[in-house]
Amino acid sequence: MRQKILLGCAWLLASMGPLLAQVRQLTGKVTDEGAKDLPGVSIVIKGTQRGTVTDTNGDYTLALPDGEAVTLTFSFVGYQSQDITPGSQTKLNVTLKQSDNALSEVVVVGYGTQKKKDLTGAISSIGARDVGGRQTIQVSDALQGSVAGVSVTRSSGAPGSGSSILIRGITTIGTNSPLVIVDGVPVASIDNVNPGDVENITVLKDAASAAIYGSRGAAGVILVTTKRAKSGQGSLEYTYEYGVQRATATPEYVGVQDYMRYFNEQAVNDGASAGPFADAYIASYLDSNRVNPDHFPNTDWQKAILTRKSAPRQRHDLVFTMGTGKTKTKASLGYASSGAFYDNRSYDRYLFRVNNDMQVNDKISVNLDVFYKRTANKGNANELPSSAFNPIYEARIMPPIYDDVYQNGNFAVGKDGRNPLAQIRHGGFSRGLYNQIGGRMQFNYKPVNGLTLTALVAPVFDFDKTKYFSKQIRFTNPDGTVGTVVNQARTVLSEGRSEGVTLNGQVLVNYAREFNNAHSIDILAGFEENYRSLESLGASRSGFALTGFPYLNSGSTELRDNSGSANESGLHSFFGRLQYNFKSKYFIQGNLRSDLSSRFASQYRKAVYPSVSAGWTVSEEQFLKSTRWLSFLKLRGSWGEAGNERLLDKDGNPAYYPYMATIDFSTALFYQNGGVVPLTGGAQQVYAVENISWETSRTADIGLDASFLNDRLTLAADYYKKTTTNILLPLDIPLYMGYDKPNQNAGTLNVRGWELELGWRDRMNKLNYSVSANLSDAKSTVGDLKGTEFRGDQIVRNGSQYNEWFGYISNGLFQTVDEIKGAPVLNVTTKPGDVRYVDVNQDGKITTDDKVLLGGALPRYLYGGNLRADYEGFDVGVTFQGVAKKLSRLSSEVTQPFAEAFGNMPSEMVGKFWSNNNTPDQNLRATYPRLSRTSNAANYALSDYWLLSGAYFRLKNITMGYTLKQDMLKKTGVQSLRLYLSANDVFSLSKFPKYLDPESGSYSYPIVATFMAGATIRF
Amino acid sequence: MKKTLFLMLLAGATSCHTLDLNPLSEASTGTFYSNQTELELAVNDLYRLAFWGNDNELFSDNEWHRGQLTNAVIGGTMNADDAGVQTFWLNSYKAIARVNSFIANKERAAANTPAAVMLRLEAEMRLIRAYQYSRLVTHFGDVPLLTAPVALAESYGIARRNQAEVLQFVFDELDFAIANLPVSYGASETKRLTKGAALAIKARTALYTGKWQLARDASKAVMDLGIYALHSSYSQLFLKAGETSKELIISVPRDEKQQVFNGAGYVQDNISRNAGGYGAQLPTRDMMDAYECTDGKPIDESALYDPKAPFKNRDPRLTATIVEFNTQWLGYNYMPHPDSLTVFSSKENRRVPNKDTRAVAAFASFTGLLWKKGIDQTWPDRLVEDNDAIVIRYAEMLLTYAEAKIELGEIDESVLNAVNLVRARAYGVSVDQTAAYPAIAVTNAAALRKVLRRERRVEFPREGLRYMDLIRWKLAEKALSTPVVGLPDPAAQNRAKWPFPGVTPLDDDGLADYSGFGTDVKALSQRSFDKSRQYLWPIPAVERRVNPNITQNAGY
Repeated sequence: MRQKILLGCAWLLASMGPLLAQVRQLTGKVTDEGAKDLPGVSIVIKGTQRGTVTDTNGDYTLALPDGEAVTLTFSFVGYQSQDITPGSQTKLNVTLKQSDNALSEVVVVGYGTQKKKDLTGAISSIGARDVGGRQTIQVSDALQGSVAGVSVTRSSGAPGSGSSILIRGITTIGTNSPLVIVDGVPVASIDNVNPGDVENITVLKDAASAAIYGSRGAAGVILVTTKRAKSGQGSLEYTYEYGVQRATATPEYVGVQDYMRYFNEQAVNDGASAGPFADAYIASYLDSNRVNPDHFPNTDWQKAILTRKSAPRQRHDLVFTMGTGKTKTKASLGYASSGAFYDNRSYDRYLFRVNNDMQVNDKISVNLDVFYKRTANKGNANELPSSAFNPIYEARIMPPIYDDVYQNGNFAVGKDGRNPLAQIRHGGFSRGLYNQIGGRMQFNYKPVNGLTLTALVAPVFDFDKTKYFSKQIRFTNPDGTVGTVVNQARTVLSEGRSEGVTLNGQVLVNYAREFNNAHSIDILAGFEENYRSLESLGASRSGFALTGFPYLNSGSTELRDNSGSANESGLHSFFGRLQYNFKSKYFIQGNLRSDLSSRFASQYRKAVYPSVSAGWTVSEEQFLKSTRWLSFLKLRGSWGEAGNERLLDKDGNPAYYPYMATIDFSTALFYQNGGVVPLTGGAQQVYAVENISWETSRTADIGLDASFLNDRLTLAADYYKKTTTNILLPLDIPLYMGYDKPNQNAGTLNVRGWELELGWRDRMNKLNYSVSANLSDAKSTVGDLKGTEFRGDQIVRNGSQYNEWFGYISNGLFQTVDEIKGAPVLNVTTKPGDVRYVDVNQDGKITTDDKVLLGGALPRYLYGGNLRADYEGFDVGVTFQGVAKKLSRLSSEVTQPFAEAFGNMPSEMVGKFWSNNNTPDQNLRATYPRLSRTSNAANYALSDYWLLSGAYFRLKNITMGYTLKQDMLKKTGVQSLRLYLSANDVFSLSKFPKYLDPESGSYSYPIVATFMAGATIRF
Repeated sequence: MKKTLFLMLLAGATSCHTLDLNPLSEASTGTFYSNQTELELAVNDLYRLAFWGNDNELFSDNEWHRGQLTNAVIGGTMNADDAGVQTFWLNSYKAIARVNSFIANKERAAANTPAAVMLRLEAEMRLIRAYQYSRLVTHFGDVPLLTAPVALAESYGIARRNQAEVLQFVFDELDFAIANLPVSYGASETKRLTKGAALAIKARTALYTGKWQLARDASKAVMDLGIYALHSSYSQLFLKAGETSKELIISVPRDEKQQVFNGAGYVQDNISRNAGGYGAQLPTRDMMDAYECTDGKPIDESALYDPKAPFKNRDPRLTATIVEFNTQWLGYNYMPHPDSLTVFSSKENRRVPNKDTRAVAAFASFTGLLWKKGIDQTWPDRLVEDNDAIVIRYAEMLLTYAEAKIELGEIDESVLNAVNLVRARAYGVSVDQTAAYPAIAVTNAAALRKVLRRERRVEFPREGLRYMDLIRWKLAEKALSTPVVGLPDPAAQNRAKWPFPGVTPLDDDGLADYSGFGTDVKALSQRSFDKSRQYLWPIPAVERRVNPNITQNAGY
C-alpha cells in the first residue's frame, strides 16, 4: 500500500502543468490603518488559486483576465480579509483593518477546519504565543493552565521530562492520555514537536468533536498544527536562549550528632537496650572529626552529590521561511539541551522539520512535510530508564556519618560500599538515543467548486538505541590497600535496539457548498488506515575483565544473555461528517465513525461511534441583532460516543493481542551428564477472554459562546457528563484459577464537570493588552467494576473517586500506656507515640477492614490564566496556574526518619515528634509519631494523618521583551531583533512544608524554577 | 487523467494490512499439547524455582535480619493483604492450573507420543500438583480443590474444601506418582522427579499433618529404595560439591550462567564485613545455643560447655553452620570482640582494620554470629550466590521416620539407628562408631522426642524447615514471642563476660531464656507471634472479594 501511494504522489509531482496567460495589469499598495506598508499580504482572485503577494514595500502587481469581473480577496494574518471587485482601474490601494474578532478565527477540527463561530462541539484552541511563548522545552509543559478542562501534571523537573495530560479528568481505568494528532497524523507524544514550530493547538473535549476519531477519541484529542509559510513571507530567523534552573524546594536533614542521638532513640523504642552510638562517642564526635575525618566523617551528601546549585539549559532555533505563490517552504532546526544538578545527567534534542506547500495548478496542490527528531538522554549507571540509582534519593537519604571522600582523595566506602558519589564518578553510564524520522505527503485535488479530494500518507520510523553500562567500583582503603568492599557488584553492559514503524494513510472526500445564501452544507467522508509494528533486540554481558571498554565483545562469553520480541497492530476506519447551517444561525452536525481493530477477535472487532451536535447563534436573531453590548451569543449542545482500544496488559504495557491465550516461554534447569542444562518450558499465563471488545465513552455537553462589548470580552462555558462503559479491566478473578488477570469488559466510570473561559482584549492607543482566565472541574466517580478493586493506598472501586485515597482514619497519637490498654490497635507492638486509628467497623481491632475512602487524589478546580500587553516595541506576558482542591500525601522524604533503616532524619520532624524525652505537654503537641522502625509500617500506613491539601497557586511564566525598531536595523539587512527575559515557576503558594514543592514526587528530581534570557534575530 | 490517478490512489490506500494479526514472539494455546515436545515444555515450566521451596528461615527463631528487623510472622502483623502470602497462594494455584490443563489436553499428543513417556510426564505433573496442595493445606488449612480446568464463570461458585479431603487427594495423587515414576534416571537423561521424590513429599506431608503411619511408611519406602545415602561431609553437602550428592531427593538447580542466582545484596547480607559484606542476615543466639556439646547433652546440662569458649566441645554442625570466633573466614580472621580492632587477613597476608567488630563498624553482626553453612569463598569473590535450592534431602527422611515411629509409640532399634545415622554423619564417622559420637540410646518417648526435635533444629538451619516445625509442634507462640538478643554494645560489654555472660537456660522444648542476663545481653528487637490466629495463614483478601463463598481463617 505505501509503495502505491508514494508512487502515485511522485507521479503527481512530476505532472505539474503550466497555467494560462492573462491580459490586464493591476497595481497598488496595501497599508494598515496607521498607513504602514504591509508586506506579504495575499491577493487572490476569488474562486481560483491565482494571485500574488505584496512586496516589502506593500506594493503589488497582478494580472487580471480581461473583460471579466473578478473579486479580489486581500488577506493577511491578524487582519480582517477584504473582498474588492475592481472596476476598470489599473491602480487599487487597500487599507486592511486589524482583526479583533476571535470568533472569526479558523479552528482546526478532526479532518478539517471550521470557523470558530460555527463550532457546535466543546473545542478550545490556543495559538503560537501560548505555546512557544511559555518558554518551555516540552510542549506538554506549555499546556499547563492554558486550556479549561485540560489537566497537566508533572512530578519532576529532570532534564527532558514532560508532563502527563488529562482531558476532562479520567475516562477509563487504563490509558487516559489523549490522542495527539500533528498535522492530521497521529503521533506517540506531543513532546516530539518543537514548541516554536506550533502554530496552534486545538483540544477536542466532548465526544461530538472527538467521535470522528472513534476508538481513540474517548480521552479527548489534541490537534497540533505546525507553522507553514505564507505567501509573500521570506525570512531567516535565529533564536538563542540560555537559562538556569534552580530547585524550588530542597529538603533538609539533621546534623551528624543529632542523627546519632535520634537513631539511638529509635533503637531503644524498638526494644533495644541501647542505641548503637555511645553518648561519649556522640559528644566528642565533632572533635574527633577534626582530628580524623576519615574515621569520624561528617558528610553533607546533598552538597557532595548535587554539585551545581543551578543547572543550565539552552536552546537554538533556526527558522527559514519562504513563500511564493506556488511554493511555500518553512524549515526549522531546533536544538535544546538541559543539564542537571549533578554530573552525567543531560538531555539533548534535535528537531528538524520542513513543511512544503506546492500549488501544482488550479485544482491540485501538494503538501510535503518531513521531520526528524533525535533525543539523547544521558544519565548515570542504572539511573535510566529504571531509576534504580536515583542520585536525588541517595543525596537525601545518606546520613552524615558515612564518608564520601577520604582525606587522601580516594573515594570512601560510604555505607558498606554504597557511595553514590563514587557511583556518579566511576559507576558507568546509561544512555538512550531516540531517533524518529517521518514524512507526510498530502495530495489535494479540487475537481469542481466545493469538492476536495485528499489523499495522505504518513510513515514514521523509530530507531532507538540504548546502552546501559554499570561498572564495579572497588574501594581503596585509607592506607592505600585495595579494600574488599565493592559498589555495584558486577560490571554489566546491556544494549538494546528497536525499530518501530507506524503508517497512516487517509483518503478524504469533502464537499462544501452554500445554496441560496442560506443553506450551507459540508460533507466529509473518509477512510483511514493505521498500522504499527515494533521489533526489539537486547543483549548483555557481564564478567568484564576491564571496565574501560563498554562494548559487548569485551565481556565474558560465559555470562551473556540476549532477548528479542516483536508485535504489530492495525486499525481500519471509515468515517463521515455532515454539517448543515441555515444562515449561520442554526447549526447541526453529525459524525459517524466505524473502526476495526486488530486487537480484538474478528467477530468483536467492529465498533461504530455516532455523534450529533447543534448550535443556535442567538445573536443573529432579529431581536438581539441591535443589542450593542452583545456582539455574539451562541448556545450549543452535543451528544456522542467515542471509544478506547488502547489496552494494557498486567504489567501496564500496551496489550496488542489481549483476546488471545498465548503460551509464554520460560527456562527451567536440569542436571544432565553431570552439568546444568537449560530446557525451555511453556505455559499459558494469562486467562484470556475472547469476546472482549471496545470500551465506550458517552458525553453529553451543553455550552455557550458569547462575546460582548464589540468582541472585547469573550466567554465560553460548558457543562458535561461523561460515562464510560464496558471498560476493559484486568478484572480480579479468583487467584485459585491460577492465571494472571485477563482483560474483560466490565467497568463503568462517570465524570461530571464544567469549564469556563473568559477573555478580555483591547487596545488603548499604542498599548495592546489582553487578559484571559480559565477555570474547570472534573469529578470522576467509579461505577460498577463487577467487584474488582484496585487497592493500595489509592483505590479504584465502585463508588469511589478514581484513585481515591484509601486508608485509616487517625485520631492523634497514643499518649500513655493506659490509653492503649483495651483500645483497638493494628498490631501487638503498638506503644505510646504511635498513631491511633479509628476502629470503623467497631470489631475491637484495627484490620484492613477499617480502611475507608479518604478523599480524591486527583486535582479539582483547575485554573489558569494569562495577561499580556505590548506597547511600541515592548511586550510583557504573565501566566499563572493552580489547583484549588486536591488531597496530597506528605512525601516520606521530609516526614519519615531512617529510610532503609539507616537513612537521614528530616529537619522538618525536629521538635515535632512524640518522644519519651518530651514533657507530656510537648507530646500532646507532637505532630509526628515516635521514632520507630518496627512501628513505621503501622504509623506511616496511609491514613488521613498524612494527607494535606495539595492546593496551590503558581506563577508559571513571566516574559518581558523588547523588539528593536526596523528602521534602525534595515540598513544592516536585519528585519528585526527581539531581546527578552523570562522566568518559569518562580513563585508558588501552598500549604506544603517549605521543604517540599506541591507538585514534586517523592524523592524525585526537584521541580525547577528557570530563569532565561534570549534573543531572536530575523533577516 | 487526474481523476483516474486519484482513484488509483484511493484503491491503493484501501488495499491495506490485514487486521488478523497474531503474536509474533509467543505461541498460541489453541493447538498446544499436541506432541511430545509440547508436553515436555509444559512439564519443564513447572520445574522452575517459583513452584518449589521451603519456608523463609526469617519466619523462625533461627535467623534474624538486622535491616528488616521484623516480618509479618515474627512481628505478628500478618493480614489478608499480605503480599508474600498472596504470592505463595497464587504460585501454588498457577502450578495446579497448568497441571490441570495438561491432564485435560494431553490426549492431543497421544497419537505421536509413546505411552510410557506420556505416563511418566503425567506422573510428574500429578506429583507437582500434589506438592502444591500439600504446601497449601499445611499453611492455610482448608483450601479450594481444583483438579480439572474450570471455566471462569464456574470458578465463582467454588468453596474451600475440608483439609482432610484435600489431603486424601494429595496422598492418592502421590501414590499414582510413586507407582509410575522411575527410581532414577540415567546420567545422559535429564534428572527429573523420581519415585523417591514422590515418597518424600508424601512422608513430609504426612508428618506435617500428623498422619504418622503414612509418614512412617513413606519415609521407610524411601530408605528401602537403597539409592539415597547421607553425604559424607555435612559442610560440603551445601556447597557446589554437594549438588549432585546421593543425599538430595529434590533440589532445584540454580546457575549464574543460566541467569538463576541471587545478586550482591543477598550475598553481602550474609557474609562478613571484612569480606565485603554487611553481616545483616544472622544466626540468632537461640540457634547457637541449641547445639549440644560433644557429650550429647544440651549446653545447660553439659559439663563441657563454657560460655567463654562457646564453640568448644560442641556438635560439629555448630562450626559447620556458624562461623567460629578466631578462625579464618573468607580470607579474614573472624573476631567480633570489641577490643579486636585489627585482625589478620590470610587473603591480604597482613593485619587489617577489623570491620567485624562493632567497635570499628557500628553495624557489624549484632549477635556476633555469622552464617557459614552453604557459604564459601566464591560468595565474596563473585558476589553471586547460585547454590541449588535443596527441597528435600535424605536426612529429613531418616528423622521423619524416627519422629513418626516415636509418635506412634513404636520405639525400636530402627528409630535409634535413623537418628544416629544423622548424628554420626555430623561427626564424620559411621553409625556404628558409637565411641566417636554421642549416639542416642534412650528409648523413653518423651526424651526421644526432645532429642529428635533438637536434632531437626540443628540439622536443618537455613533450609526453611524450622517454621513448619514450630507451627506443627505448637511452639511458635513461645519461640516467637521473646526478644531477639545480641551482644551488648562495645562500650557496655563486660570484657570478663565475653562472649556470653553465662550458661543459657533451656526449657523442655529446647528454647532459650535470656531474661536472666540483664544488660549482659542486648535486646535487639521484640518478636510478637500472634497465637490467636497465626498458626494458619490468612486466605488472600482478593479471593473473598470476588467469591463470597470463600471463608476466612479465624482472627483475620
